[in-house]
Parts: sequence; C-alpha cells; structure tokens
Amino acid sequence: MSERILIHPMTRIEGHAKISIWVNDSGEVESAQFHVTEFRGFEKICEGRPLHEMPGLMARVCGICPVSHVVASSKAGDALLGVEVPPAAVKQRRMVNHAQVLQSHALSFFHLSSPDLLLGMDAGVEKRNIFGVIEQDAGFARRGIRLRQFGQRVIELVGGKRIHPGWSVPGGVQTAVTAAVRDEIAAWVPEALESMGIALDRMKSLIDSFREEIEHIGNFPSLFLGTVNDDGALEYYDGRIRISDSEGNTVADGLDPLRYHTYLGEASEEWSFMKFPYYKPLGYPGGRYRVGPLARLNVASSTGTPRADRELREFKHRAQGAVCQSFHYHLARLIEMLHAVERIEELVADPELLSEDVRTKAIPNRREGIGSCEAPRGTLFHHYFVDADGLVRKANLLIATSQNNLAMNQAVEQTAKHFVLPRQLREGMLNRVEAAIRCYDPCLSCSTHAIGQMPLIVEVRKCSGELLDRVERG
Amino acid sequence: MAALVVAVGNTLRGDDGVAHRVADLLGAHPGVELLRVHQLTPELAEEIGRAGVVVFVDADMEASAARLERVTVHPQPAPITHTMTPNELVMLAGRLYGFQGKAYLCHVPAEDFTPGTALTPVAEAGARAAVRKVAELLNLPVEIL
Repeated sequence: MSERILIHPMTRIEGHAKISIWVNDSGEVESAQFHVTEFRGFEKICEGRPLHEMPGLMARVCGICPVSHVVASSKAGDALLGVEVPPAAVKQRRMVNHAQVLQSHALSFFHLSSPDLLLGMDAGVEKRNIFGVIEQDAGFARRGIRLRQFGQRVIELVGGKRIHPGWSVPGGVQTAVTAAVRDEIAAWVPEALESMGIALDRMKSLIDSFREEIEHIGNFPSLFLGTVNDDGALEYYDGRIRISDSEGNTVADGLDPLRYHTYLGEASEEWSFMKFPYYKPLGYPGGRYRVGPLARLNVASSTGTPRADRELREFKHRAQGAVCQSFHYHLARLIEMLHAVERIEELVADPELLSEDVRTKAIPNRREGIGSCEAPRGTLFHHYFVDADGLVRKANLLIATSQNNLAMNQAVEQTAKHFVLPRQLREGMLNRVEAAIRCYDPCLSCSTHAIGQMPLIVEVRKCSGELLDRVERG
Repeated sequence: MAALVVAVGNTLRGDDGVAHRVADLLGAHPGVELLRVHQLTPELAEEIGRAGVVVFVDADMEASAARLERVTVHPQPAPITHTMTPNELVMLAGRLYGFQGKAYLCHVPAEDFTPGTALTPVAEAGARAAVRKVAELLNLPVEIL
C-alpha cells in the first residue's frame, strides 16, 4: 500500500473520530478503518463510588442518551439491592426511555442525516445541512424539531431535567407522576403521530433514488442482536436477547442479558480507543454483530403496537432474510420513533402510572449486579461489583455504539471500495464514506462536550509524506 | 415573551456553569424567561422564535471582563453536529420561526473548568458584572453589589 486518504475529523456524528482509506500501488482502495480517537475512562471513575450514586453519575456518561445509562444503572442497582421495583416506577422508566429513543432518533434523522437524504449525497457541502433542508422544506424541519422537543419534554417532566436526569435510583424512582404531567404528555401525542406518518411517507418516497447507496453503503451479512419480550416483540426495558443471522434465522434465543459476558466478548485494536465486541461462539472477528434500530427490527417478530407493526411488516419485505443494508437504519429509526410515540400513548393511558408507590428501599444484598436495556443505538449493559459497604469496586459498561464497531469498519471499507476513486477525489465520494458511519448514528464521546463545528480535511499522501491531493470543507 | 435569557453550561465543571450563577443573580422578572441548558440544541429555536430579544450567557476563558456581543448571522453555516452555536441557533429560529429580534451573547470570564461546583473568584466577579450588563440591556431593576 502506498497512500492513505484521511478523513479527519468526521462531521455530523457525536464524538471524535477519523477514517483512514488505504490506497494500493494500482491506485485502488485496498482497505479502510474507522478510528475512535477519544478516551473517556468512565469505568475507572465508578470505582469507589457508592451504589446509590451510580445512576446519577452514569447519567453524565452521555448528553445524548443519558436516560439509557440511568435505566441500565438503576437496574444493576435493583439487582444489587435484590428488590422488586414497584410497577409504576418501571412504567416511568419505560416511558422516559421511549422518549429518549424519540428525541435521539429525531436529531439523528432530521438534523444529521436528512441533509443527505433530501438534498442528495452530491449536494454542495454548504447546502448539505439543516439550513439546506429548511430551504427545501421548512415544515419538515419544524416537525423534526417538534418531535425532538416532545421527547425532551417527557424526559424533563418525568425525569426532572432534559439532559442528565437522575430521578431513577436503585429500587425505583424518586417521584410520582402527577395528573398534570400525564395530561401534558398526552396532549403531544396526536401531533407526534401525524409527524411520524409524514416522515415515514417521505422517507419511503426517497428510498428509490438511493439504490446504489443502499446496495453499496454497508450492505453485508452479519449477526443482529436485540432484546425481545416473551412474544418475540420489540422490547426496550426488560426481556431476553435474541440473535439472528443475515438469512433471518434465529441463531440464539432467550439469552439472559445478565449473562452477557458468557456469549459476548470484547476485543481491542491498537488503532482505536473503542472496543470491538463480538459473539463468542463465532470468535473474533467472525462473531461480528450489529445492534440498534436495524438489528432490533430484524430480530423482533413484531413491535407490539399497531401502526409500527404495519410499518415493520412492510420493512421486512425489503429483504428475503434479514435487512442487511446499513442504509435502512434510517427507515428503521423512523419506525422505532413511531413505536415510541405509540408506547408513550399507552403508558399515559395507564392509571397505574400515577401510583405514588415508586420506590423500594433496601441495603445492598448482593455483591454483583447487571442491568441492561435498549438504548437508541443498541443494547446497553452495566455490570457492577460492590463491597460490603455498597461501594463500587469494579464496573464494566458495554456501550451500544461499540457493539457496532466491527460493522462500522466493514461499512466504511465497503463504501470506500465502491465509491472512492483516489485519483479523482470528489467531496461526494467522501461524504458517502461518512454517511456509512452516520447510518449507525454513533455516539462516541457519550457526554455533552460535543465537537461543535468541525472542518473536514481530506489528504491523499504517499508513504513518503508527499501531498498528492487535498479537499477541504468547513 | 419580551426577552429570553439562555444560560449555557455545566454546573459540575466549575466555571463552565457560571452562566447559571448569572441566571440566579438575575432572578425572575415579568416578560423575561430564563432558560438553563447544558448546551445549545436545535429545539431551542422555537422558544427563541417567540422572543423579542434573546441573550445567551456563556463562560468564556478568553474574556478578561464581562461583555455583550451582538450575535450576527453568518451567510454560510458550518456543518452541524449534536450541538449548535448561538449564531446557528438564531439563524435556525429566523428561518423556521420568523425570529427577527435582536440576539446577544454575554461572555462571562472563566478560568477553571475542572470538575467541581465552586466558581473561581474571577468567574464570581464576572457573573456579577454580567448581570449588570444583561439588566442594563433588558432594562431590569436588578441590584448587584
């Protein structure tokens, strides 16, 4: 290999990363890698902290998906206390987690990915952002903002804060939901359902214009992993892990999320700070699997809500087995948003939501506890060991985005090989490589110190360092 | 809503949370909405769109004194991520919600963003000066020693 094309930093993702595209002597793309260049070290920060502090602390892991960390952490705490959580508290946790899926997916779809989808991958970079979307369809952009607002408002009303809510604790939650809160949430639902219908129709009408991207941006066989309930339906809070393959066959079912470490391994590579989880029975890297919206819809038999079920049936017809095209993460994300709104509608109609019995108190009764849930980007595991005083001695966090690491690398390489012509670099080629990553909506920094505005500089160099070509944006 | 004051920052990162101190000192006033956020996100555009004047308050390690700066809209917005700048947010509010009011960014001196809830003396003094600036701008009856 004689040259390397570097995309650094990446734009329209959360966190710090870069992409290397290696070019061989014949001037063709040989391989590509997605590097995560930041290091957080949250597992180490947990050591020595009191168990009851953990959900509040873990909320700080991420400014985009704090609720999932709070929920997984609270569930690990429930396990350590050895208590049964009151039903109203479970319903609150479920509702706020659905709200987070809604707001996170809304940001990903409407603000970060819709510029590519509505304006095209080759649109000028000065147009390919939310302002370009507004120029084309301001009403569509407004609906995206309102959907995100709805999700954020539910989190704020129930969890106390839009970002980093710490209301959920080991044993339950701290406060009951009032009738006024319930009514305000219920009032948002009709508009949200209408917006989701419009967004889904729009997305489906656009799909045919991206046939080449669908075929070549991260379209490969892999395993898919997600949580399902006893009926095999989509589940975000409590359930069993199901793993299926690209043919649609179930590889493993009924796996206990509390024993994740027996079937999921974590490998490391020297060129990235992000781990590379894999399915142990198939080894590394053969045990590559995907999580998140596409994986959840592939493993679930149904969604359990009527409108989303209709969409899921149509979605599954896009392939003979599993839907393997990473591009369809976008459509899957919209179906999950619709499902989230329907679930919120169900929960606010449940009288038990208002129960004031929301917390079971106890001292730690076990030394090891695991909590899992489905976060916007995939399955999340929190695993704690505590001492006799309830202080955390060791913590392992298996984050959703990292579980897509092998798949994201595969997607980047496949996309680069098909679209990038190293001798005739064009912005649209490199945007497609970035778009492969954006399908997965990775959340790399998992905190609020996001990257802000970033330029994109791509350089093609010989191994000697001689600059052959350069494209700059921002 | 006549005016919207948006305090931006993380109160667990030392002086990064100084804008929240400004919000505390400013207090509640008729016609003025106070919003406290960790970062600027797109959904704030709707609230900005309802305001006549918006003042963003944020910690600034390069500011030697509290100062107000008019937020101008760049003709070519940069690619955005999960967070936005005051400039981009004002532009978004204008394009989506017809915001035509004035927007300002109040820079508050800050020097230490290490984890913790305490403000440095520089930030505390900066917060008081910032309150005077914002109160004067919005014509609010605020007494700061």
